[in-house]
Amino acid sequence: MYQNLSSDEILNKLAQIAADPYERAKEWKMETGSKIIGCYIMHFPEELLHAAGVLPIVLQVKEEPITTGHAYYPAYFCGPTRSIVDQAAKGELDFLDGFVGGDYCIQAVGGAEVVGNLLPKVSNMFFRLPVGNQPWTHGDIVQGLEELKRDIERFADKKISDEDILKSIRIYNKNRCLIREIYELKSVHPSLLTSSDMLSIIKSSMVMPKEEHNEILESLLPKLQSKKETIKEEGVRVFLSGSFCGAPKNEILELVEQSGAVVVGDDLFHGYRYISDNIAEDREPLEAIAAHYIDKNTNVPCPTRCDPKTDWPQYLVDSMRKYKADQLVIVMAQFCEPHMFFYPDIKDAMQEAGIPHLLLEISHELDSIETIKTRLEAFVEMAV
Amino acid sequence: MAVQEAKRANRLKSGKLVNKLVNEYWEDLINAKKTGKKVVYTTGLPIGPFMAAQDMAWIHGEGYGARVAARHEEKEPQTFAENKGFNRELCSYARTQMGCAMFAELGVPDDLNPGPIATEIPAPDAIVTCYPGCSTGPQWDWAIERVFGKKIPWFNVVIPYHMGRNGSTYMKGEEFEENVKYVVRQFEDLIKFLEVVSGKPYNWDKFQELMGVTKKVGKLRMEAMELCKAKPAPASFFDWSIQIAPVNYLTAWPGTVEAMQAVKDEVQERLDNGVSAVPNEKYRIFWEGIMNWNKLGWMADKFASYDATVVAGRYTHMAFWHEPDTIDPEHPLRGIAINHLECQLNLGYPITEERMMTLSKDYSIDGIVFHGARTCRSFSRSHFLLAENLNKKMGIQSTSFEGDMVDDSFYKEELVNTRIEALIESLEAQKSRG
Ligand code: SF4
Ligand code: SF4
Repeated sequence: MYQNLSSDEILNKLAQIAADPYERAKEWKMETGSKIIGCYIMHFPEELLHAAGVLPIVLQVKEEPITTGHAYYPAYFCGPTRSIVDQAAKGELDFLDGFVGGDYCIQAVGGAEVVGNLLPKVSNMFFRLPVGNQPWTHGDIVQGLEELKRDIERFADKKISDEDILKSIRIYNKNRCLIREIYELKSVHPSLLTSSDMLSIIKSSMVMPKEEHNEILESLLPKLQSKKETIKEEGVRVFLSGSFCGAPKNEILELVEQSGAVVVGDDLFHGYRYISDNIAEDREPLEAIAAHYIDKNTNVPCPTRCDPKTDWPQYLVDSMRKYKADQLVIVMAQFCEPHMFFYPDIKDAMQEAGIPHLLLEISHELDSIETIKTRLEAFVEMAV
Repeated sequence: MAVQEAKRANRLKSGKLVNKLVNEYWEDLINAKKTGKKVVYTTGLPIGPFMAAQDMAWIHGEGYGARVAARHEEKEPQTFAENKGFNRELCSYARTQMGCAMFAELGVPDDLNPGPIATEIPAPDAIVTCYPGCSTGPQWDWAIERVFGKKIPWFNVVIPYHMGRNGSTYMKGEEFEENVKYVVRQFEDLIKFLEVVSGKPYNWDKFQELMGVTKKVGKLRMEAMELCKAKPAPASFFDWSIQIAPVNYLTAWPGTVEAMQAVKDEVQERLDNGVSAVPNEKYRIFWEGIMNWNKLGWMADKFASYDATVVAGRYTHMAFWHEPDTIDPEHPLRGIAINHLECQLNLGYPITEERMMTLSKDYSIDGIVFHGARTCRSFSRSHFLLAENLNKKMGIQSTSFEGDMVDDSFYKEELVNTRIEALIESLEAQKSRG
């Protein structure tokens, strides 16, 4: 169905899905009569949920200002968690049959508690993902996965076999491989896709059936391959970092590019972080998923994982070199504690490596967009 | 209309004994290296006895932040941390300790003139995290580990959040039991870790003895607090906040049993003689949130002047060895795990609400003050839900204001005054309606 569309048409389609992120899932529910589980953003074993025959989606921040949600979650909590609380308060998440919260961040814990209260009919589950990287951490993550598996089986009224999980892992691995191929293309030909295009690709992957997303990407990839020859490269090469649970707003991404930069790589959760690594297909599946949590964090370190064997600032320095990036733009959600704890180290590492960086602390309401624009322009100008 | 006269809270006098112990503890810590003791940095719930058994010194990050603030020395470390890039929206305890840690590691910059407590604390030989219900805790310790050049061994006891899955409730159910086992196993590994750091086999006899002390002190405190179910209450939440050290970083410190016994005796004596914490108690308030340490005395008098006793609080009544009977000094790990798992911050919302409703009944609460500590989001995460549901289910009125633990820049006195006044007025109206 996508074979006959041009790459731009396919990207438009993905952008539409991403812009109205729950519509495709709702249609799927109508078509299949099956259940939907919302994941309270980062670090969830979607494969395990998928294996139960349900559709896991990653809940998305909405661009609209928070209104009803103000009554349920204080204004000094991060935008991503407040936005989801707001959606629940407005009834926009009523289509969910279940949702899974996690303990990777206290603001996400609190947000999920509020959502649980606002959606009493929705099955409220939890994924315990122990932090750190000690000899026993892998086994502890397996235990957390087993607890979730037990709860999902009750929820879906279905026993999940190892074969089911493996099948799901294969589908998800394929998706990650395809997106990584697009990343590779973009790093060599950064103007081939805008960063908003990349965001649409990832975001749509988070909110629709992966099988279908794989099909779309299989149509898109060859079209991008052939298009790359016609692309003229220009602009200051920028690496984009941060922005955990919430995707950076399109407005910010556009400003980066309008300032004269091209994005050559990123470690965004709505970006490379989401697809950086595959899950082994030749191990016992829960063990493989648990190992994946440790390995992918070595690939792209996450400050919520508290793994002292990882070094996020050094990873950034290395990535800058790998992608021949000139500058680092850090997008930090206002009030994001894990990110705030790391900024001083990143700042020092960049200064030591002689890499210019710009920190943009972004409020959900984007109240300082003009200042952001001026700062970005002045920053990119420096490298021209 | 509520009339505010200048009345003062009648604070417990026996608190002075605790001050003496606090001073001894800090003196000991400052001199730890000189006396050949290893120093362990900790955050989270009180795990001092684990180290004390090995004759190691420990410093508790939050206790340290509060101490620095109590000595009015917090501005310099906070400024230093901010200059280094630590955002002022980060947990103010963490920022304060980070500033001090950086003084220790990087030296004091010329333009700052920090006080002694902020600069005299020794660098760590190990870091042990044991944080319930807040991801900021381990992230803060990780930041400390990085400040000291990633060379300090770090042990993180992961305390799993007790959400209340599949019908598990307070101290009951499958999830609770699984969590207890999981924490006990980590404590066993912590002990092995401490053996390595201290270079000697673990002193179980001493540990068991210290946990016996902990149990006694915990029991005395809970009993003393329970005496305040009486009307009028002989002591207030502010007293219990001031007396927190013996069940917090001073856990099992020599002299804590005597100090807490003296506190309990004084409360009993007051009760026998009809002496109350607030001269003319009309309203009974629950304090929801962590303490605003810079404002403790001011707050105590403020409520007293409205004839309101702040009788209980989640901070004081739902943590810090609040379940002493679960501790078996002969086999202490399970009891420690239970106290840590079932503390205020680590409970899922429905369990928290149920506990708060029970306390509100037990202490005959009329109104709740929600102190939204701006940089302690773990505490304030459930405030709006609690306010709504406790009003709906029990008719309890409340007010809220923003403040902080040790960063008074988040605190707006005018607003606090208006909010407290409004709460008292509505309580007055409710009482007059009968
Ligand atoms: S990691 Fe950051 S963005 Fe995500 S929930 Fe926590 S504070 Fe919010
Ligand atoms: S935010 Fe609150 S609970 Fe978390 S580490 Fe700081 S003081 Fe502790």
